[in-house]
Amino acid sequence: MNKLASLLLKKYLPLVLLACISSLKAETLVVQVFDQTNKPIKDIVAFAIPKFAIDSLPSNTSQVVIDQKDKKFAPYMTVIQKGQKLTFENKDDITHHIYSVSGENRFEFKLKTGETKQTQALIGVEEIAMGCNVHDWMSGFTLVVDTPYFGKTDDKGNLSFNNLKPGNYEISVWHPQLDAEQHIQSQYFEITQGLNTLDFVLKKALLPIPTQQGQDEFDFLEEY
Amino acid sequence: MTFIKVRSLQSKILVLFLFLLFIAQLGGFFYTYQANVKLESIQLNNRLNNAADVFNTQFNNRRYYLSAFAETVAKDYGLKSVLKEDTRTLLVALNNHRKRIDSNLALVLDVKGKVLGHLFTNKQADGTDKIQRGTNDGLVFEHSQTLLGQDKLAQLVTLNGKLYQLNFAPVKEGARTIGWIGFGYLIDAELALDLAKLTGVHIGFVNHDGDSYHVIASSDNTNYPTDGEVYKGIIANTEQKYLYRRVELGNIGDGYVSAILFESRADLLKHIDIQWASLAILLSLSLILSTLGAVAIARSITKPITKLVKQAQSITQGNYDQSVDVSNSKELQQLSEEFNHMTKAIVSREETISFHAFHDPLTHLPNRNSLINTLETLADKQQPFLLIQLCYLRADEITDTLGYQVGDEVTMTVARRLESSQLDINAFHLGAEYFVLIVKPEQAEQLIDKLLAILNVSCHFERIALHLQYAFGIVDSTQYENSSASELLKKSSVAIQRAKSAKKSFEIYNPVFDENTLERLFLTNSLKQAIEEDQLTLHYQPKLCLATMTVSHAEALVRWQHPEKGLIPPDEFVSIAEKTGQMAALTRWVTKAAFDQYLTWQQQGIVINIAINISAENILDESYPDFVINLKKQYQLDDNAITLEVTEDAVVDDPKQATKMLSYLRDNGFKLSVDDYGTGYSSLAQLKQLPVQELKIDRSFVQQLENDENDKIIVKSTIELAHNMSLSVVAEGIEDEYTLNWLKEHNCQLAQGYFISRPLPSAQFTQWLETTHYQVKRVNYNK
Repeated sequence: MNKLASLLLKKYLPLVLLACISSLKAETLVVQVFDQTNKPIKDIVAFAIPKFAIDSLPSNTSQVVIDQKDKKFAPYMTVIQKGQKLTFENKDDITHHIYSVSGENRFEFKLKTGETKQTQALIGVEEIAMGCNVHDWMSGFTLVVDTPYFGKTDDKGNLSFNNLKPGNYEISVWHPQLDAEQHIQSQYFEITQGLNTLDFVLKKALLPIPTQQGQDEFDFLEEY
Repeated sequence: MTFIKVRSLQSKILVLFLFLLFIAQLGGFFYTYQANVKLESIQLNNRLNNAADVFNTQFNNRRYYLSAFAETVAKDYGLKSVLKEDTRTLLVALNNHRKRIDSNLALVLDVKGKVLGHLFTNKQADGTDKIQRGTNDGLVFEHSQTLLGQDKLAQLVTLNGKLYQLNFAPVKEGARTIGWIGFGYLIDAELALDLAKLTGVHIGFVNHDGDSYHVIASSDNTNYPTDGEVYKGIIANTEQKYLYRRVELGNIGDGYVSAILFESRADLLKHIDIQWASLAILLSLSLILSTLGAVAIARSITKPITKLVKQAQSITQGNYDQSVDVSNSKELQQLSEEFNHMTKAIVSREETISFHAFHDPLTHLPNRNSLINTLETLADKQQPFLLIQLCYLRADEITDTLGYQVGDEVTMTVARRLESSQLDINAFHLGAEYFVLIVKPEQAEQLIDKLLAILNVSCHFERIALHLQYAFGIVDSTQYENSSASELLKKSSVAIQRAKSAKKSFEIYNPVFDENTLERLFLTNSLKQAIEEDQLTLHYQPKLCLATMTVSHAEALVRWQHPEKGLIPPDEFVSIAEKTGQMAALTRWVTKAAFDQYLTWQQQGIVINIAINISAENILDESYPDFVINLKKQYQLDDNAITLEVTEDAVVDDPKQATKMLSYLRDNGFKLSVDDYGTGYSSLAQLKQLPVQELKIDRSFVQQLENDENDKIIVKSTIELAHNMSLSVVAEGIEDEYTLNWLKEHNCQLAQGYFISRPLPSAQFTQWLETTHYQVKRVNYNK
């Protein structure tokens, strides 16, 4: 393993050096997600899971808030680290009844206007589908990942992971409309010293994202 | 209506009416029946169409209902929240929903199609449903491939051998499908029955898988079992007794399920049968009413006819007073008017006929029928009267010479004079010149004078003045009270004939006349027989030759020796023979008998010329000359052995024919003599031309010759005239010696008369010849 590492090191030394120069800290992975037509995809969740033994991964304890605004989950997609809690904040002037009834991370609560409620620490690593029992069309997803390395791509489809220790990682892309097993496409990637870039090409095009909007016959609801 | 022998008009009209009515009714009935059948058929079709529509609606409603309910339940948070809870909780929640729509099947699947909960109803023996759990928990639902995620309404599936309508709706967590929930209804006999009740037609469900059909359920399993012939027929499309529709329900596997809606045509006909009965009642009712109507119409038509028949019958019986008044219809009214006109016409014609029956058509005087009636009336009243028959004389001559029109005018004139006379007489016209008068009894001569005073006025016709002479026959009714009218009339006829023949102006009837008349009739009938049976004999009257006083000639005169009546004088039967056309036969008989006698005398040596009288009729009979000439040849008689005496009248009638015939006879050796000279109207010119050798002066000039100077002059001048014309002269009727001598003096050749001898039978004549003092010419004749 060391031989191979040293071989790679020799080979990519200039690159590593460049990376060391530009960021004097640890290794960085830049994942850029493309579709089949080479078009970068923004706002898609990517996460990296180290496939080597790590004593402890840092825990993300920041509060993740999902707003109910304009009878929509905002954001539509959320990704959190296992053990984190989700906070729902009703910014509409109507009561919402947020639920997730399948899987391990079940919760439900009614949120009156302006109310904020927090789930328990979600420990089930899975995709959580969320709905509102009052507003059928409202749909939101939260992915619970067992890694601190996750994020959403920017407008150019890029997502940077910093402070990664070199090693083998499973790089995954998740989107509720990704037509794959558990809506996740993964690949392994060896992160080395310095700047690593990964062009992540989706095997299939994303399915259209359902609009969180009521049917026209409920127009009157828009006023409330 | 020739096929029914109906005599009376009323029945004919009735039968015709009923026949037409029956046809019309039958036609109407048939049409109604046809229309009903058609209507029912249309109704049945409509019913089936409606049923199909209702069925479709109902079935689609169920599908929609299932879909909508599944959608609703899928969104039910209660169920959603227990989806991933323990199975029992889920099943209870599921059953709660199932009960709400009483579905037969409820299913909850996870997103992969694995069964999370499965409930279905199971029909128990007592009819109640029992809920049971499926045994496929955790297994992928067998129809999940075809049903899930299909945005369709309820689908058909077979589950555990039962057919369901099943619909799934996704259970979503936001937009994420986390499972499926479905509800289903059974498609079974119960459904078929419900829909059958709703649609009013029979319903069956048929599953077609590949090649074979399988009837799943029937709404009426008793009458139409699922394996029955009806379904087989409908499926094979050979069923004729049922109308049906197919409604496709949907595919199932490779096959499909359809519903069959059908209705028996028999039900339809059963319905019409009911109408049949009411129609039949209606028909018979209208037939009865129509019959009554037809009877009334027929009566109204025949009633006036019956009236007319009665009228005709009363006319037949001679009752003309009644008149009919029929005002039912224009035609019949016209007929009745014509009938009344006819009656009047008959009456008027009958009056005319009656007038003609009792009046003479020419003079319009009452006729013989009227006379008979009058006589009978008088006889009944026992009133005495004189019956006078009159006629004007020489009527035949008037018509012959002046024509029938003048004859009629003469008759009219006489009639008018009788009519207009002031005398108390009833005048009748018997016909032709004969009239009858009925007057009150009075002295005959005076009455006749009075009548002649009226009648004896000369008539002028066509510038000819006619002085009519009359004859009257009078019968006095008082003397013949037992005689009938016609007998009285006959008596008057006898009297008038008597007057005419006696050249008297009148004669009063005497019963003696009757006998003569009867005798004449009798003789007429028996004359023919007499000629054939030789009852006739010839008598001979000698003619004396005055120059030599020799009996040189004899005239044959016919006599009738009747076996019962004795000797009948010729005056009586010769005229009968003339009138009855027996003259030819009589003359032939006489001729032959005379010839025979001539031969007889010849054989006895007696030479005597025999004279035979021939009549005018004989002269006109062209066969007679040949007969007599042949007879002469046959008997080999000498010329001038036979004299033929012809009356002056015979010559006058047809001088040309007479001359021709007489010439023929003279040329054949007959001596010809003109008989009865002086009584006729023969002119000397005619006489001169006649090929005769002799004149016979009529006895009327001779009989009184001794005392009558005029007769002497006539006879003398006649003799001289005859001699100048080279004719010899015979005088007849000599009854005394003076006359005989006077005639001898005046050179008359032959004399005949009672003074010499009366006519004698041949034997006596022969004997007379022996004894007479006159000379007889004899010869020795030996044959």
